Amino acid sequence: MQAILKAIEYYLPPRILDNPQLCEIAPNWSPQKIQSKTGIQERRISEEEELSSDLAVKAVTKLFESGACKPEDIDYLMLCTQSPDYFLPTTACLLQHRLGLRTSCGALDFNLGCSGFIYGLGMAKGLIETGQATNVLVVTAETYTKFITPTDMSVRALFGDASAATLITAQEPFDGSVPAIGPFVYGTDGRGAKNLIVQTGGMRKPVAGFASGGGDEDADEHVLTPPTLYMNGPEIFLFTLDAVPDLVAGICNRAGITFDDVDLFVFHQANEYMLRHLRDKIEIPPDRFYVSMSHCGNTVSSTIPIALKEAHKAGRLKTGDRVMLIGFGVGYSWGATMLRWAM
Amino acid sequence: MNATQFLAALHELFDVRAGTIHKDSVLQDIPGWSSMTFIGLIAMLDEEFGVRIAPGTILRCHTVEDLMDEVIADSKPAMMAA
Repeated sequence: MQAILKAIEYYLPPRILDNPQLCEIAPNWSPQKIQSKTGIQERRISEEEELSSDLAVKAVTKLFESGACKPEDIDYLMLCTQSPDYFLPTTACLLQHRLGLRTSCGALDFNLGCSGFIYGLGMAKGLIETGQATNVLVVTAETYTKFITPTDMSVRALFGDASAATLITAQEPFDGSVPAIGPFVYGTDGRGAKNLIVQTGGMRKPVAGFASGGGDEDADEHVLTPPTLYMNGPEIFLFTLDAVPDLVAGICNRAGITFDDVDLFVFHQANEYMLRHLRDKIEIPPDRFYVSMSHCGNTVSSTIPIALKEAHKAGRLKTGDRVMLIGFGVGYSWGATMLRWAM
Repeated sequence: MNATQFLAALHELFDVRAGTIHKDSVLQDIPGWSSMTFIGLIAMLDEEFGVRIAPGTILRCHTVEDLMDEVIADSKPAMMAA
């Protein structure tokens, strides 16, 4: 048996933040400028009480409603998130119950960002092809916007909230010579940790105010500082210029393919301006390089499954097509794989 | 690379009228300087001049000419090798 990607659904929260709204906060920007520099028209923002788990439930429910699988079919659930509901318990355990999955189902969270979908596919393939699981749900869900200071345009213009649910299932190989998922290339460089980080809220810098002041603003020895996302965009960009061309070369080498063998290239949808630059630098033909982020922004680990779903809906993917997936970002962490499209 | 080419590339990046940016212009005072154009500047230097200048180095450049000197210094080994 081999692991195949059988179905994808995604969910975006309803509240929209569009470019004219952003310009009300930052009057020196224009909607056209934001669009041309990011490729984003609008991002979706979760409500205060709407958490990653809520987005995940919506995405997985769409998957069940599509008829791709039933709750009782799932024997392993993994949730990729950096905005979990709690330190503990594991948000995937909460999801098992809320989704009505059987209690014999394995469940875990894993903390990765923009590379997370690739790692999820790698783990799902490992579970299936070693006989540990048959139907694995790889769920990506983030509410990064809760980490964002409203006036920090460098991140507010980019990130949106979303969840995607992907079903990886065991199936007889339909083309024995090419794996349906794989091979994989991974990479990590923790020297870049400081360039995309939420510094507070973990054990190193617990959120001040909760412990001694109980959140009371009058307890003035501590100022309440909510966990806040910091991104050094130029450093991240420089990292991608170094890492991504090598990553693309690495996956081509490991798969024994050239660009001619790839029907569609789907990169992590970080920022369309950056993607176009990478595409031209690596000399990927524009007609085979898929971008789909204008309706939702950078949704971190959900960007690749969202782009795959949109490419499929737009008729850009047909059964048997070979797709290169490239993820890179926070960590730094990166990964690449090849898909044989099975939908 | 000469100063004319470099200034032309900057005018195109910042989308400003010809003659707006000079060698002695203060880099971060160029109209439209922002986190987004900063990324665009790194992309332009990579694409047009084949150099990757670290963001910290760019921020230490006071004027356009300072940045031009960095680009020349960074591209020298390649030019010599060629």
